[in-house]
Amino acid sequence: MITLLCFCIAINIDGGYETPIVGFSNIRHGVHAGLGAEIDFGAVVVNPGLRMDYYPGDNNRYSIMSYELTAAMYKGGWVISPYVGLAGSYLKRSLAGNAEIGYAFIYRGGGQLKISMSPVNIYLRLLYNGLTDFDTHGGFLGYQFGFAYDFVGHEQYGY
Amino acid sequence: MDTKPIHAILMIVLIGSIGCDNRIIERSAGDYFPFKKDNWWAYYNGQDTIRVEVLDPLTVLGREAVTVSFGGDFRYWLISNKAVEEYVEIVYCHGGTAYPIIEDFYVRNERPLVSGYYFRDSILDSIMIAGIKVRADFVFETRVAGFEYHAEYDADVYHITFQMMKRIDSPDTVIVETLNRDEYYAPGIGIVRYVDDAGDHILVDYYID
Repeated sequence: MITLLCFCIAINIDGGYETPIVGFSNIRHGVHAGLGAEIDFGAVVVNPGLRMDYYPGDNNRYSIMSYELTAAMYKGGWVISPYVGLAGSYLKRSLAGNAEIGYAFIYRGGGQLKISMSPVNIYLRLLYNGLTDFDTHGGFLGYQFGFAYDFVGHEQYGY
Repeated sequence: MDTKPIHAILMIVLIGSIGCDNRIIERSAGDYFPFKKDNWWAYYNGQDTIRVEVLDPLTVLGREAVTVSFGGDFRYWLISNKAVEEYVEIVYCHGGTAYPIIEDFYVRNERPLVSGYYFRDSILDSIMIAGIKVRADFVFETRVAGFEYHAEYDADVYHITFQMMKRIDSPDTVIVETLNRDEYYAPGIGIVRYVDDAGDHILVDYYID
């Protein structure tokens, strides 16, 4: 039996905007930027990476910064596909020079539109971004725009 | 089937799960100031039960303020996502008439609560009454002393300390009034304990709409 294995690595850069919909009533909005890899396993594409979120408060002396180690995945080969991700976050909330730090677990899910123009893939995602400390959760709804550049640009076939 | 992606995600979940039980999302997303109309809290200080309730709003200095009754002692608060401001009035009585020297709102708490936060607000004003100058000082200091987990509320409870000083200077008298107060806030409940000159008040019952 012949098996086909596609394996390629690309660099992924994305950014986006979020608005709070669960909890976080003191937060005005969120913006984020991320850098990662894109590993194509054929059936699924996995995005490990780093991401930084900034959430300014309604009180302009207050903000939350989140530094994340993320892993996300989506269905390979689909133009429109579901997108799910998990992350561990180092979180810092600050008010007027005073800060509290902690760790949070982040889960995100939504849909993705992928436009392929080899070697570049362009993404537009609509995502729910949930944050939890396993006692309380809150969440943001937002969009994300990104692109991936395939530096390897080849496919490996195994028989 | 290649299971590397699943292993990678499970590893992230495991790492995330280890360090996340620190309630920072609770403190970030929780509402520590649920002062909405018809909500009430009952406190017991060992002798009396004091009922704190949110009443109909009142227009104060042209702004709609939340009326909070602390056992009949009315406070007028402007509550926004940025701060809780309280109305203060300092009057000077002369010849049977009360002359307001200071009428203003001061910042009681900036929102949201963050440990270590300190803020000092002051108001200074003076008026001439029958040819004499009367001056008033108002100073208010607030400090978020920290937070601590309380099992009875299953939440991190913030401890805030307040110091207030009112001073009236006239040519023949100096009147100084000071107040120290500690308040403890839990998410979704509000003040669960406060300590002032009348004693240590512990929350015994409450209603949050």
